[in-house]
Amino acid sequence: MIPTGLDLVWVIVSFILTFLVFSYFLGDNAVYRFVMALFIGVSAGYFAVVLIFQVILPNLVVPLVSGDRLVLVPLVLSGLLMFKLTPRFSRMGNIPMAYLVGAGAAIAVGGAVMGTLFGQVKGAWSAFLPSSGESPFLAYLEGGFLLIGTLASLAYFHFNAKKGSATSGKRTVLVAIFAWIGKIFISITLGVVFASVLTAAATALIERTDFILQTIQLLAGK
Amino acid sequence: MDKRPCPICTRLNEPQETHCWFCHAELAPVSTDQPQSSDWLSGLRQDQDATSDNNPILPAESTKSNETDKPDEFVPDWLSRIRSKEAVERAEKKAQEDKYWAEKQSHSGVPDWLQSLNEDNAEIKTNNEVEPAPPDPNKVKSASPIEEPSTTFASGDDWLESLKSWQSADETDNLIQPENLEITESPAEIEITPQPESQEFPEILPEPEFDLGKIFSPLIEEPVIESEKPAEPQGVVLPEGFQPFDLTFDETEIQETNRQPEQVDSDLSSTVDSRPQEELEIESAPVLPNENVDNHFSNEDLAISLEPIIEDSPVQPLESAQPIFSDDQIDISQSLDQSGLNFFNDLIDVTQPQPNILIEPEEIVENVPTDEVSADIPINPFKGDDLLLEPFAPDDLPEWLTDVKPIEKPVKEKPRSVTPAVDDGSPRPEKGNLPVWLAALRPVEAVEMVAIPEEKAQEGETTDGDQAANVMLEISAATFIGKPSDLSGGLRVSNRQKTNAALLSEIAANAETVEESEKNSAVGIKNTLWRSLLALVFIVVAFLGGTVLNGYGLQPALFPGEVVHTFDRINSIAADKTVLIAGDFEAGFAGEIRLTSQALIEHIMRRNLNIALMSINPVDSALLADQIERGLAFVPTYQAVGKVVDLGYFPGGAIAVQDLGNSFANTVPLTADLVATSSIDSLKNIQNMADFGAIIVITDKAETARVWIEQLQPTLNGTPLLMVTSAQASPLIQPYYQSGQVSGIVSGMAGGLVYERIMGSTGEAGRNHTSLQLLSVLMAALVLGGGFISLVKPDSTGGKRQ
Repeated sequence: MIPTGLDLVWVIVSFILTFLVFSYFLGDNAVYRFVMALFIGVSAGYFAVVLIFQVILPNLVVPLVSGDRLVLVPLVLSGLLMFKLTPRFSRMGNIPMAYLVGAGAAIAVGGAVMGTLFGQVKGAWSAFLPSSGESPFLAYLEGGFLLIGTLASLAYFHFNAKKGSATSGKRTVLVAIFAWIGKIFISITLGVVFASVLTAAATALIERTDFILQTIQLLAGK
Repeated sequence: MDKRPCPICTRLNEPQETHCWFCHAELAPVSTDQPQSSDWLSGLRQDQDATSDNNPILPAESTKSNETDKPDEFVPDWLSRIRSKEAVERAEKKAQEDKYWAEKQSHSGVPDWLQSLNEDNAEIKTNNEVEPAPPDPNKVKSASPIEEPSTTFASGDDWLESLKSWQSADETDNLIQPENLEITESPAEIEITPQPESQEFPEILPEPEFDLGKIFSPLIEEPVIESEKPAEPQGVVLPEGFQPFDLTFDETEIQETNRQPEQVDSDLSSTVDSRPQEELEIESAPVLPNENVDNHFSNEDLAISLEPIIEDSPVQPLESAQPIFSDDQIDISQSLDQSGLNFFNDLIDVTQPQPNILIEPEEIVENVPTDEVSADIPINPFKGDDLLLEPFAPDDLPEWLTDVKPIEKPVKEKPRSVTPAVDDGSPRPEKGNLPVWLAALRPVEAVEMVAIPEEKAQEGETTDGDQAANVMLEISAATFIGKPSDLSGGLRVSNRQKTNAALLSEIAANAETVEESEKNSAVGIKNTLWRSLLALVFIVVAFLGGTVLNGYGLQPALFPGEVVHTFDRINSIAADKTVLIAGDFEAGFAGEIRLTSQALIEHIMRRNLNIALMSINPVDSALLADQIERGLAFVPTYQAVGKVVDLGYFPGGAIAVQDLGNSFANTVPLTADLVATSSIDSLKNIQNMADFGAIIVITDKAETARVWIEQLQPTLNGTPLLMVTSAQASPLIQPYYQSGQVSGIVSGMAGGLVYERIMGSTGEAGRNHTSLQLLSVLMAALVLGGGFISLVKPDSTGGKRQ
């Protein structure tokens, strides 16, 4: 698809801005800071428009106009939350903040227990179940590997010591072995995460270079 | 003719006197039957009485009559001079006294103060008659064993009158001046009478401050202690503080009888300090003049010096007068002439509390002007009033002195010089090393002196701001002056030290700045070069992979199961179902997300499924709309207008997601265009999240993906939950896929490439996968190379490597 008209203008603007961001390779400079400021400013303005037209208007104004008095509750809470802007009356905003923090903590804890803890226990157990056409040995091997990795990773974060032992302050032999194994699993995981981060960054670079090439080809083709 | 004793003061008066010459009391009439001796012996006796009777207070008339009656009598020249001078003085003195008493006498003919004195004398007299007076603790024990009749000096007036007797007429005039009497006639305030009750409280009895007898007591007592102690003085009751004056008499003073009272008084005045207060302040160590404490006594001198005291003692010829001191004692006293003075000076060290030294009130008021002396003012004869502020403990003070308030001299604070000290090259005290805690407690004012700019203070015309600044400076200066000087005692800093310190700090600051700036600049240039080089390499590789090396990339042969499952889930969605695409990623990852999700969205569009767009991040709504628009380039047959619904921004995070899982219709009542979701064909049948054909979450963060999994997956009831994530989030989401909580994952450009391969299309991911592979190899090489170098090369920063 070949951009035309206004799209072409924006393509050229994006092309220039991309090069200006690439100027950061030479160090922090005013051009880079200008692009960053422009990005932040545009994003903030866009946020404000989105919040007004997609949050306040449909969720507060429209129901209020239509006669839904229930929205007065979030309205009052939101109004109290505005007192957080002034230190003198910031205590007035503690009520909605308490509601938000309490509800968020409860939801997070509930979701972690029901979604992650039970789900991961179930997943560790189901790993031993061979799928259709899969060898049970491989299933056990895979399940055992995942189980050892999980237990070893948990053992690495086990810092308790035996009470009254002469070697107090040191892990027991079994926990130490599992912790050493868990350290290997954790190292591999962090390495994978780091590689993934690099891959993500490389992908972003690739996307920009592809954009530059496409724009150059576009401009050259014209 | 015998002298007539006064019934009041018991002093002897001339026979022709009708009133007592001393106290002006009426004398008893003279008996006419007294035999009148007319022989030559009587005349000689009278002459002897006049010369050696120790009574220099003969009336002038009597002296004159004697001289006129016996013109042919042989009289020594010195005696004649004494007689003549004494006669003149007595005449003048009597005239003045008569004039004064005429003014002061009351109706009874006796002054009030004299009546009170007489009453006291009568009581004392009675007491003395009942029991003998105890030995005076202040009395010099080593004094000569002079025996005086107790009845002669038992009263307080007698010693006072004896003082008058040897005083000159001028001094007597001064003594009885009305201004002086104003003080002396109030005996209630000033206890001028020696208290015989002192035996009850001998320890706290006030003693004369200039009691030379007490002062000389060590000098006099020591020989007595060493030798045989003489007999106790019997019946010699001298007034306190008066008896030792005799010891100060000099031979020259005896010869110069006219000067004697003046000299003594001047000596007294020197101790009493009748001089102005300024002179007292200047006066230094209180050392009595040597001539006043001369101890060169001879037998004759001592005998003559005691004449005023023993005037009423039995008449003895001058030749038969017993010496007061023995020859041994006199020798010892002579040998103690200078050393004794030194010892005396040391003894009267005024810097030490002297609780037993008191001031005799009479001696205070005699030569001190009335306006400078009051009964409440104690006078230290040895030093100025500043010594009164010496550490006298309240317990050490006698009772009568406790009520006395010291003279508070206004302290003249010298204005502290704020000019910096001039370094004259003299050695300065070494600066002490204070402990840290003490240095922390040290006040700031003690460290930094506040210097007042003089030009500011001298400006004639100042603005308001300058005036305020001047006021503040004055306040600060006043505060500074008021601070104890002890705080800045050891903190003197000379200008040279200040200059050196400033120079050193400047040099150190410049050196550090230059070195640091050079180092920073060098490191900055080096880092910039490396960063630019790496960036150039990466950009070049990316361009090469997308252009020249595009066909050399390895194509994926094995498709990951999570991508395949995603494809299968999308492929298995019913045609009338709506797929919810929820975007929760940052704009910075929009490029990667686009490469990752492009194939998936194309697949949905190819299947002509309804799409509902929801953004958790406000910018995602536009980015998702752009994705749809890009998908239309590959699937132009897709009717995006009727198939795609933008639900807009959905705030609330985990709470909103949890609420969304409970009821979609209530949570999202309106679309981004403020159209009711219930009125849209693709959404009117959807009440819960399970009613969607699939829920695709596009995110770049594992935390966001976990929230969707935790909060929404339990409510889906078999509806597939698919994840399109950034490459950095896939490792943490993979366990949820393994556990079955996530139906499929498409992560990163690699996942998008696989999805394209599964679909059999060529999209942007396939076009750039070579670049990704090259950059991955390059990054792996850099990581390995950097790790190897850091492992081999020692740490340049000196940090400890574990």
